[in-house]
This record gives sequence, structure tokens and C-alpha cells, in this order.
Amino acid sequence: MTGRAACLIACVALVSSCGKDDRERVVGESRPLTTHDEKPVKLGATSDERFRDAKPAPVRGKTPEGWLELPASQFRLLNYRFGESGMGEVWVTIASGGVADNVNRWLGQFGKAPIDAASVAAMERITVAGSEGVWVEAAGEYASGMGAPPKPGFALAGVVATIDAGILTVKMVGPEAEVAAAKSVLREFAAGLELAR
Amino acid sequence: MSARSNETTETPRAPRSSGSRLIDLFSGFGLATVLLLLLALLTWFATLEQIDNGLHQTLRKYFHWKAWWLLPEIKGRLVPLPLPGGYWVCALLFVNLLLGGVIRIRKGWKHSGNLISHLGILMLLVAGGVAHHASERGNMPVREGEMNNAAEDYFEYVIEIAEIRDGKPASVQVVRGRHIDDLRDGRQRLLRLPGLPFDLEAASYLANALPVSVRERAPARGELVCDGYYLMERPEEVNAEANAAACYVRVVRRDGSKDAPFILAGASFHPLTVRDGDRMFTIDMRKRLWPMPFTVKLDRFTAEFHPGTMKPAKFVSRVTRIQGADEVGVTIQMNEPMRHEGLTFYQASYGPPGAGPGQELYSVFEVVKNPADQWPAYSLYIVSFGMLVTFLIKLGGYIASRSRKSPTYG
Amino acid sequence: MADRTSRAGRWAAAVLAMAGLATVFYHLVVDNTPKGEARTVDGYRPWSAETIAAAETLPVQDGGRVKPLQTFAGFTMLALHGARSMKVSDGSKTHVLRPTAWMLDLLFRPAFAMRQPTFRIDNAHVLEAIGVEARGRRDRYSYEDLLGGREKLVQLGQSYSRIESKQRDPLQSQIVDLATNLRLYEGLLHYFTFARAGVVLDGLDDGSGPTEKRADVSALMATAPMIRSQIDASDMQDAAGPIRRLLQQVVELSNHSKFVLFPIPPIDPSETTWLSAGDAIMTVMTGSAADPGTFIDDIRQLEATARAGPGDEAAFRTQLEALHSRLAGRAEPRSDAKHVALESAYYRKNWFLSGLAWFLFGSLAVLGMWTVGESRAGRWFSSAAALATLVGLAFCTTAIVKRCIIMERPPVGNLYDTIIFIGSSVVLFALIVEWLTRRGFALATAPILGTAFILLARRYELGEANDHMDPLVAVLDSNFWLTTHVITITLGYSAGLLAAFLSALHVLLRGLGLDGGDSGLRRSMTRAVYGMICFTLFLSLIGTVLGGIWANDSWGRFWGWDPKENGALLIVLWTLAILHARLGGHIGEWGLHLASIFTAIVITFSWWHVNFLGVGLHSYGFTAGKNTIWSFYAALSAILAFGFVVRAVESARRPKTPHPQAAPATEA
Repeated sequence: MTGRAACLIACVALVSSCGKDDRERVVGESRPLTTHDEKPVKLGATSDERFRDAKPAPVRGKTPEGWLELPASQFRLLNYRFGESGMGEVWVTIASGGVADNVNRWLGQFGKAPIDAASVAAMERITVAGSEGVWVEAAGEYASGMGAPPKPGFALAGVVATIDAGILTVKMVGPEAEVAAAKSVLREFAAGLELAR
Repeated sequence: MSARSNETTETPRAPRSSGSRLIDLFSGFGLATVLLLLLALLTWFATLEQIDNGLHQTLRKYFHWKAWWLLPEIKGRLVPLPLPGGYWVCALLFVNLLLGGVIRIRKGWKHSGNLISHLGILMLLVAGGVAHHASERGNMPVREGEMNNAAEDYFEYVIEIAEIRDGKPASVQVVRGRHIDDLRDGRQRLLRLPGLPFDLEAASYLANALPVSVRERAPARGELVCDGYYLMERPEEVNAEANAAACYVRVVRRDGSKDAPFILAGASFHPLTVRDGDRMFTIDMRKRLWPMPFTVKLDRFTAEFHPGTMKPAKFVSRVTRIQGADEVGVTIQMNEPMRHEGLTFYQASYGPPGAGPGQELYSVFEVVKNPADQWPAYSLYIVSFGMLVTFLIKLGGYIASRSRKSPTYG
Repeated sequence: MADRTSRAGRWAAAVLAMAGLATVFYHLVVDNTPKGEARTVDGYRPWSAETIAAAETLPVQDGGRVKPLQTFAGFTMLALHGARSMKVSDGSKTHVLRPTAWMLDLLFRPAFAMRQPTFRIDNAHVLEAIGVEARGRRDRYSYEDLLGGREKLVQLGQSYSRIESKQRDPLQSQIVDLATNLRLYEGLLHYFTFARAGVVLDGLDDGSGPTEKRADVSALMATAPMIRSQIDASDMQDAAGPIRRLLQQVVELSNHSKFVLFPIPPIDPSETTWLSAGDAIMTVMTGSAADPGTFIDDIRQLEATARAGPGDEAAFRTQLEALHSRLAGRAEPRSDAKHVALESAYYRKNWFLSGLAWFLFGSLAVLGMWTVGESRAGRWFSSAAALATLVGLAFCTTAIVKRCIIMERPPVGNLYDTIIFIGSSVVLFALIVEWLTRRGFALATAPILGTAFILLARRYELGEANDHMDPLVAVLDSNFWLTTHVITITLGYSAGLLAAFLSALHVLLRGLGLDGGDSGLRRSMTRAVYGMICFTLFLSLIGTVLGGIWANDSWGRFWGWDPKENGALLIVLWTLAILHARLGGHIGEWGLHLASIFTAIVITFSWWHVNFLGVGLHSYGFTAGKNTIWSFYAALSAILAFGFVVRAVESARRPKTPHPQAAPATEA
């Protein structure tokens, strides 16, 4: 009797441990449509939209090598850090206002005197996201004005362009040497920007 | 061991066959006592373990039919006392009760009460088994003025692939949870979908995970990153309903080419869109939908609170049940569910969670389908009748024997 | 030999009995005497009995129902002070303050109240933390004592309450509790500020400096429409400046009286929420009162009463009675204030204390009965015991019935209800068993158990300090199922506990040699215990399945694995195991009694311990009683151990004969 019992127990144990460990399986059963399917479906959602329910960024760009992409904030649609010191920043915004005002604001942050419209018109042109913009450069003591202490030996390079929605700005600020080294990368980056439809 | 043998007075009988001895064992009081004690131990350990591990997980460990044996845990520490699984203890108890308590029990009107009670308990055990295997339950929240015709399973996550036509789902295919929830530790499986123009390859299923952007936090364990996101595994919630499952999936086209992997997560806001030719599909992971044969529309939901407090006094949902052309108004409230077509709708709770008087609330129903729904009630009537009969017979006998004032007692 | 052990046993039993009596008296004395030394409050004048009687039945709404001020005062005092009485000396005489008097001082004579030793603070570290000097062994502190550390206490309380309660250490929890208690106290202390202060009208400078004219809030309320129109009409800030300042004062004053006390019944009979003084003031000021006149008169009467507080008592009583007839009169036709008078009478009569006294008398009679043994005197004692127990039971039953009427629901709804119900039913079952067996052992247990359970109820009430008549949550609202399921399970607990105590008695008698080897008595006890176990099974099984049916109807789940349900199932399974083991001959007389004692452990787990596990519907979260449970387990285990020892000694002494199966196999 114990022999028979042992066999029985062994069979039972075998059956229970035997799982279906297959690598391929035919699956799929259809289900009827329900009220849940009547809710509007967002097609073509990006990962950001799927996992953060975030609205897509109005502007997209290809992150250059060596630049660290940071999360977007309320004002910085694209946000990067670059350079060895870690103090170099690049950010892209869409704002309202005029090109000249923005240019002068940037110059003012470096202690430069404001320039007139004619001088703005005479500045280098560069195409950004399908629109024309001006290339701006400055160097000196950077006073961002948001309560941070002024930083000497800094430089600025960037673009201010007019688009439908206002002004698109690409601004790079950092230690003079690093900005000088990254200027060409910035040109390429700005040229590669795309506005989302 | 059995109550029958009394060697000193009976004439020696032929030795019992092994079959008879087996039946003696299975029908005996001793086995009954042992099984009852085991069941009591299991219940006690399960009560303590559910504090730390949550109810759903504890029940699966102790009472699922696949659980043959187990080691209990108290406050996270294993107790070195192997116990048989509860389902099988009950199954054995059923056999013991049938053999010993019904078939072999002494018959006669004096023992009729016990026989009736035992039959009632058998019915209760069967009801438990039926409920275990054949019952289904789901969650259905409904907002005022809105309709719902499908409940959500509390625990099972599935993959849903919907074909989109004119911007809306036209047909939906579902891959059940059991096909993907054993894909732990990097295992993968090709899920063939004959009804669709592509297959899916699923891997690395996690019972509770959150999609995290690499920009917020770098992957610590080398998790696969898809489109700037990866799955961060989280410990399973004590309340198992709060788990959000996830896995990695690739689309495998009919020509054999595989797309880049993407993440499917219960914790996602929108599905993934996939194109095949000019057909459009969405793929998503969500809790399994359980379509109902009728639609429930919430006309009005009232939650009453005890005056001046946040203690809920009463929840009342006035709904309309729509089935084809029929529309029936029904009231569902605590202790008064709606039963229709084998489904029972209970007033489970309300939302949003933590809301109080004066805020806008929605009603949450629990939908249950249980063929053995009323059997415990019937078994109770049978058992109590049987016990009452026994009790009265015993009491009568006791009083009668006392009144006789026999000199050895009294 | 038998004689000697018997005498030693008698002494042991006498010692146990004395210890038991001492514990009872200690608890009674400790519970009933006011705590701490009498604090001196100079010039204190105690309230007269008539004033207290006038205040007791004032209806207020609290915890979801309308109750007399007496109940509200009683539980508030219990929560803050840890006792229902306080000793205060006026310099020469000591007075005992009961809850209503204490509440009257708090509301109407704050100058006295602030010096009364209200706050119970057991842990000196709490005082250290808030910077108040702990003076001597006093563990009750007055509001005045705590004023120095008030700011710190509020600040600490706020920051600690942000920590999740399970993760707070005891000191943090005590600080949070003290902060909460202080908030409650201040809410009452400052409640009538609006009446005492009034609003300040901007004075006119007539050359001798600006005068401060004060106006009653009620007078201002009467002019509310005019004020509102003035504010609406003016666009310039300055023009309505004085008016705005007035309004601001009113808002600030009404904030002090917005919470804690809700004595004003709504005017609309269909409205269920009662108002505080602050609510009434603001309702009128904002113009949302349908009948402002009534509220204005209410406030005016409240003002008059509050102002009369510190003065002549007779004048105060007149105002109080006017207030009472006004508010109670409006409350009378309402359905929610029907039982206020009955409840006040219930608490005044203190039914359970009377029941306890009778049970105690019965216990003494039982002791006498056991001491003198079988004789004429013994029969007198036993009759006295039976009578005293019956009277005590009558008191308890009356109390339970009155509670049901007041609460308008069946007797067992919360944990306090279960204690008194089990106490009463255990006594009833014991008396029935005595009637059936007539051996005296059941009569012996009845009054002792009655005493024990009422004491437990009193300790529990003191520890919890929550009004146990407050309504239940929604899921427990179904009266039919509540009646059947809960009562059956509770009766099952009673039957099981009685069986356990009878077995404990059996073990003690046998072990201490007090039964003189009377096998008839032993057999009778065994049969009684066996019958009780069967009865326990019957009740617990039906109660458990009824609970399942109720759960299935409420939320679709026959068995929810709620710890309380599991506890009931454990009782069913355990008693079933006992019966089947006995029927199968696996346990004999000793086995039955020892297993029956263990039943008490299972029942304690199901009745009490599951409430502390922190999960499930029946979770209460408080941990105060956990020590009592562990000591009870320890006591039962000690008796069990004693039983095993006695059994071993007995079987060692018995001549070796094959002993027949204790249970004949013909029993089904």
C-alpha cells in the first residue's frame, strides 16, 4: 500500500510542477466592444504622452554629442548642459515680443549698450526651423538678473528668430572658452531644429 | 482508531483488507480531528500573514488549488512548519465527511440530526469549491449621467490590440494575463495572433512597475530603455489591486521583421499606435474588461454622512439597466444589491477616494458572478436544522436521565 | 493524605479568592476616586444640584447623533482627564467635580476652569519637550500650568501629526494627543468669547480720548442686512472701513465658537445638521438664514447665559433654564432628539455599577457557600448568591435594553456593547446550567464572571474615552443581519467562555483537592462543559455562516477573510475538533477540560486580538489593551500548565488498569 501511495504522490507532484514553459503560443481572443471603447483614442501618442500625459514639445531638436539633455521646464522647451565645467547652458524658448527687444535684453545681461533696429537688421542671418533669425554674440560679465550673482568671463551665442507663434530663441551661455569651442555645434543644432505641427 | 473496534468483547474477525483499512482511515474521527486542526492552523497563519503580504497574495499561497503545501510567514520570517495547502485539506475533509459522516455514520432517528448537519456541511464545502473555480468578480465605476457596460477585473492585466477605423476601435483582440505573467527574468514568448497581420513578442513581465524617463532617473539595473523610457520595478503593493503591471513588447511582422521594442504598462495614459499597410492598430495594457450583457446608467448617486462627521451613513445609487430596448430603473445600495442574469451588482464604494460631503462623487460597483451564490444560505438552513434536532434530542435525553435520579449520578 | 492536601488546597483557594476580591476593590476604588491631589482654586464655588440638573439634559449634537450635554461632558472629561471626577479645593473645603459641573465651569466660568487640573499627562518627557516644569508626582495639569509651553506644543503637534501614525514613537503620539486635547479644551474655553466680549464700535473722540463702545453680537446680527447692503453699495474701501472692521470682529469671534459644541437645533425639521453658535452667527450675517430672527434670539439667550456665569448662581440658573426650554423645546418634535432625557437618566442611574455591586455581593455569598460546605448555612448562602446574581442580571439587562432604545439599534454594535452583552449572557447561561445540574459549581461562576465582565467594561470605557453609543458606519447599518449574525457570534463567545471557566474551575478543584474526589460532581461538570462546547459550536457555526450570508448580500463575498470572520471560524473549527476527538476516543475527561480551557484563548483572539492587527473591517487601531490580552493568555496558559501537571500526578498515582474509553462509541 505504501508503494502505491508513493506512486500516486509522485504522479501528482509531477503534474503540478509541470508548467507550460513554451516559447511560442497561439493566443488572442476577441472581445465585444464596450462603452470603454467609445472614449476618444489618442492615436500616434509619443512615449512622453503615454507615460507622462505631456503635451508634445512644440520644437524638436537633435541633441549634439557631449551635450546633456535636461527635462524641459516651463520656460525652456529644450534644455541642455554642455562643456567641461558644467556651467554651460543652452536652451530653446518660444516667447512673445520683438526680435530687437530680445536681442537688446541679451546684450543688456552682458552690460552692453542696446542697439537700434538698423544694427539688428545688419546682423548675421541664420535659418532656424524654417524661419530667418539673427545670430547674436556677446562676452563679458553675465548678469542673468534673476537674483544670481554676476559671472565674469562668460559669453553668449544664440539665435533670435521670428516664427508664427512669436519669437524662437536659442541661447547659449557659458564660460568664454567653452562657448567659443561650441559655437559651430550650436549653429548646426539651431539649423536642425524642427517646429512640431 | 475508528470508533468501531472493541477488541475485548468481539469475536476475532478476519484481518481487514488494505482497502477496508484505507477506508477506515479516511472515514475516521482521527482524520477528521487532524484535518480540522490543520484548517484551524492554516486560517490562523493566513490571518496573520495577510497583514504584511496582502489578502490576495496570501489567499493564493494558502488556498489556491495549485498550492499543495506551504510554509507560513509571520512578520516576514518563515515559520519552519510545513503545512498542506488549504484547498486540499478541504478536499480531504469532504472525502472524510462523505465516508465517515454520511455513509458510515450510524443511522437511526437518534442520529438523524448529525446526518442532516453533515449533509449541510458537504454542501457548504462544495459551494466553496464551486466559488473558487467558477466565480468571477469585477469593478465598475460609473459617473452620474454616464453609462458603463463592462466591469474591470481586479487583478488581471491583459494586452489589448484594437483595430482603428474612422478614429475608433472597430475590433479588439485580447491576450490574457496568463500568457505573459510568467515571463520573469528576461524570458520571452512569441504570441501568435492569427486574427491580426502581425504577432507580438513579449518579455520581462513585471507585476508592479512604473515607466520612468531616463532624463529623470538613470536606470540602475541596466533596464532596457525604449524611446527614453524604461520600466522601474516596484515592490508589490499590499493591496494587490493597486499593482500596475508592465512588460516589453515588439511587433513581429508577417515577413519576419521585428520592430523596435516598446513598453506596455498598466500605468500609461494612451496606447501605442502601430501601422500595418494602411491599417491602424493600438496596443495597450490594461485590466481585463469583462463585458456585461446589459448597460448600467447612473442616474443619481447620493452619499449620506452622519451629520457633522465624515462617517458615511448610506450610499444609494439609482441606476437604469438598459438591455436592448428594455430600460428598468433599479436602486442599488449597501446590503441591497441588484441581481440579474446570474450577475450581482453590489454598492462597493464611491470616489474620488477620500472625498467628503459636498464634493462631486461617482459610484463604484462590484460585479460578481457566482453560480454557488445562494448555496451557503441553503446549507446553513440544513445545518442549523440538523443541529437543532441533535441538540433537542440530547437535551431531552439529559433531562430525562436526570429526572430518573439514578443513584450513581445525581 | 487526602485531608492534608485538601486543607492546603483550601488555603490556596482562599488566597486566590482574597486576591480576586482585592483586585476588584482596587479597580473600583481606583476608577471611582478622583485622580491626583486636590488642586486649590481660590474662591471656588461649587454648582448646586439644581443647576447641574438643568444643564445635564441640554441637547447637543456630537459624533453623528444628538445626546445630552451630560454624555458629551462625560466623555470629553474622560478623554482629557482620564476619570469622571476631579477634586478641587476652595481653600478650606474639597469638592468633587463631576463631568457636567466641570463642563459648566469650562464654558461659563473660564477663570476657574483654567486652574483646574484637567489634563492628564503621564509621561514627564512630554512636559520636558514643551518646556513645562513637571511638578512632583502630579500627573494632572491645569491649562494655566501648560500655558507656558502652549506655543511649542502646538508647533510640535503640527509637525508630528504629519508623520504617519504607525511610525510615530510613543512620545510623539502622546504629544499629538495632548495637542489635540488642548485644541478641544480651548475650543470650549473660548466658546463664549463672543458673549463676554461683544464687538467694539469705533469710538468717537469727544476730546477726552476715544471711547470704546461695545455692542452685543446679537444686536449686530439684527442689523446684518443693513451692514451687507452698506458693504455692497460702497466701492471705496474707506467708506465701509468701520463696517468692515466690525464684520471682521464678528468673523473672528464666531470662529471661536464654530467647532466642538453644537447645541442649536436647525429650524427646518428636515435638516439634520445642528449648528454651533459660530455657525448660527455667520449664517445670519451672510444672509443665508431662512429665519434669522430665531437664531438671533438663540444667540441673545446664549449671551445672557454666558454673562451670568461668573455671577450669582440663581440668576445663572434662570438664564440656563430659559436657554434649555428654548433649545430643547425646538428639538423636541425632531426625531433625532427623542431619547435625550432617557439617556440622561441612564447615565445618572449608573446601572452597571449597581449590577456590579449585586454581583459582588453574590460573589461573597458564593465564597461563604464554599467555605461552609453542605449545611443549612450553605443553602442560605447559595440562595443568597442566586438571588443576588439574578438581581444583578436584571440590572444589566435593563441597562442593555435602555441602550437599545436610546441608540435605536440592536444591542451589539461596537466592542463596548460586546463586553456588557457577553457579561450578561455568561451569567444567564451559568444560571441555566445551574438550574439543569443543581450542583453549585455553575452558581459559583455566575456572579464572579458577572463582576469580572462589568469591571472589564468599565476599564475599557475609561481607556477608550469614546462615546460608545455613537452610530455605526454604513456597512453595519442593516438591522436585521446585525441582530442575527452579531448576536449569535457574541452568544457563541459567551458559551465558549463559560465552558472554559467551568473547566478551569474543574481543574482548580481537582488540582487543589477541593472536590474531595467526588466523581459525581466531576462527571456532572464534564457533562456541563461538553454541553456548553456543543452549544458554542452551534452558535458559532450559525453565526459565522450568517455573517457570510450578510457579507455576500452586502458586498458580494461570502468569505472575505476578515480577521474577525477568521476568528469565528477558528472557534468553529476548534470546537469541532474537540467534539470529533472526543467521539473518536482520542481525548478523555481531562483532554476535554484542557481543550475547553484553550477555547478561551481562541475566543480571546477572535474577540479582542484581531482588533489590534490593523487590517480588515473590524480594525480599531488602538494598542492600549494589548498588554491585558497577553496577561490573560498567560493566566490561561498557567491554568493549562497546572492542569497538565495535575493530570500527570493523577495518572502516576492511579493503579495501572486498562481504562475503558471515556466516550462510548454509541454516542454519535
